[in-house]
Amino acid sequence: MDHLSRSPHRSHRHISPPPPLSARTVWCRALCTALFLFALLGAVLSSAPVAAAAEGRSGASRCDGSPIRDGWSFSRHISTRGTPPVGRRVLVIVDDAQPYSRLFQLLQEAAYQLEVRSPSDRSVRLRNAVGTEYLYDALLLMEPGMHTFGDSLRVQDVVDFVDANRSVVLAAAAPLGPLMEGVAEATGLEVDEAGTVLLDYVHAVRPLHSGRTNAWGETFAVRPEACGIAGRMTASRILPRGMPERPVVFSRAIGAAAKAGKELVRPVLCAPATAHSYEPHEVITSDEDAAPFVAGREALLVSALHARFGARVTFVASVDALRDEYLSSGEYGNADFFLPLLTWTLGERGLLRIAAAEHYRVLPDGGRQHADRYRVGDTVRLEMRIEEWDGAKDAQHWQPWNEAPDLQLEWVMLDPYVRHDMRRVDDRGTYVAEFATPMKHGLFKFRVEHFRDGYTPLLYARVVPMQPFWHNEYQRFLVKAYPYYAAVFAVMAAFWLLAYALLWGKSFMHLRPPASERRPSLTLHVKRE
Amino acid sequence: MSSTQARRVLHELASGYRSVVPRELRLIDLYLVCLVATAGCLATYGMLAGTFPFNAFLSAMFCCLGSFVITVSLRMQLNPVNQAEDKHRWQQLTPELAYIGWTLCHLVLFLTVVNFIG
Repeated sequence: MDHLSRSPHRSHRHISPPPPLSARTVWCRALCTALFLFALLGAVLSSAPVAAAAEGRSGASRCDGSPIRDGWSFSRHISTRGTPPVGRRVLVIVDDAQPYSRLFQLLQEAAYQLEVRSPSDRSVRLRNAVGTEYLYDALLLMEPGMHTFGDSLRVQDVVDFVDANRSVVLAAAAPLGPLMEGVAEATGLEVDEAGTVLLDYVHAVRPLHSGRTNAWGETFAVRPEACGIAGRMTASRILPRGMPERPVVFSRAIGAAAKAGKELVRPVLCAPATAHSYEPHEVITSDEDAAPFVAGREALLVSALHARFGARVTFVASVDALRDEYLSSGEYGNADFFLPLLTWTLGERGLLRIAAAEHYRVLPDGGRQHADRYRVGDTVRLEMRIEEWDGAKDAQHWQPWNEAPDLQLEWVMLDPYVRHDMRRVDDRGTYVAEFATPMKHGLFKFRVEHFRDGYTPLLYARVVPMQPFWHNEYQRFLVKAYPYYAAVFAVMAAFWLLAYALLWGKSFMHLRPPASERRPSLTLHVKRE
Repeated sequence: MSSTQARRVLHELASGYRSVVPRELRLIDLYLVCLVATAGCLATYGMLAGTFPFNAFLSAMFCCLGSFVITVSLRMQLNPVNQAEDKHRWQQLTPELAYIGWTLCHLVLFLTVVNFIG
């Protein structure tokens, strides 16, 4: 209490009652009032356009700095590369067509135009004279031992043929010539060396065909069943009626296995567990170097390669399995197995294409707005119409594909931020995915990657820029922020009251002595020094 | 120390404050206390409800803090204790000038806050 009582000599108790207002005080009050009015006006004006912008949020994409393009078209978003081939001209390379007449007859009945040529026929060419177009849509190679065919056509020519979205059937046998071996290797298979053949003593049958010397075990009958990881293959489009009941005969098959990591090579039919690839009449030793190249269910009797853009390469380990004796036999199911396989390879089923695709912003009122960029948090929708080629003899047209059970869309920026299933909305094969984009801006991509056995892969990717909110597009007047607004306006009101009280109060201007009693100003003070 | 003693000390403290500090300065002190209380409430609310409209949170908080700082400087200039001889220049400004500066600073502060609060 002592130190408080030693107050400075000018406490308010010593101040005399306020004198009449001076002109200076009046001016000061006027100025401050004007400032308050100005501040009030400023606050009102600054909130007016803000409210207008908040109201126009839904329709006001002019604020986002990008023009809305109404003339948006499908064609820009459709890849022509993904359109699979649908032709029916088939070139068959075989030396002696006689043993396979039944196969050719069946294919011709299915309205395929076969051209059967010998590998030694040098007039055969795959492209036209100037090399710009292919003359055939599919290639049936049935001469396993050949080095070359036609006008010295080699492995690279066949690979180019596949790259051009065309189908190839490799009907192999032991021993395999360099051409077929090269093509098989290029399509993800490894085959055993010359001199070996796939043997199965348990399932061995007596061959129906005469020909080369047949060792016991070279000809065997497989009870067809889905193999290994390809269990779902049975339900696929390759064999629409499933695996045949009767066994399928293979003779002089080459031992083949899929290379590691070749995911597009799908096994269709595997060898029995008792099969192994080895030299006939030889005893298998325990020597590691002399172990069979491939044995059991790893040996592929039939495999199918889906190229990404619709080409198909089917590998059949035994050309003899296509002979008339087995196709016509009532005992064996070769015809039931190979005919669907071959027609699938030639493109009768499972050829898909994205006929149309579009993405757009879904407005709150349900309307759609096409744009080449979206804002974070927008609800966007991708519509995609998918068609399948109906290659049956009397159909031959694209029809809606309504059977996708698990089509899904990914929303990707390096990683998928959203995975959404695409639901079918009509009978025209239209699939739709709609989702709210995450609050993340950057370059995003609509991505559909649909790899299913027996179907052309569906690949769709469109990059869309996602932009953040423009500065006046953020949500405003949130209920959650009301305490903050209240605090600010309370402070403003308190400030106004305080300012009023100080200005119009009794003694504010007299906390200090009048000018006459005051010390010299700083300027004078400096001069004095 | 018994409660009566404590009460007496508090009472003397209060009466001393009332007797020594001018009325205007007490008014300013009240304003400052209100500001601190508001800022405390804001911080509590922010911790409880989350700072989602972060701009609103920031502007309200800075409104309180900024006003506090400006008002403290006004109080320093108005305080008769700070009018000793040969002190700093700000101690020699007239109360009117201090008041106008205080008002203008608040004007700028409030404009900024209203713009930022969203």
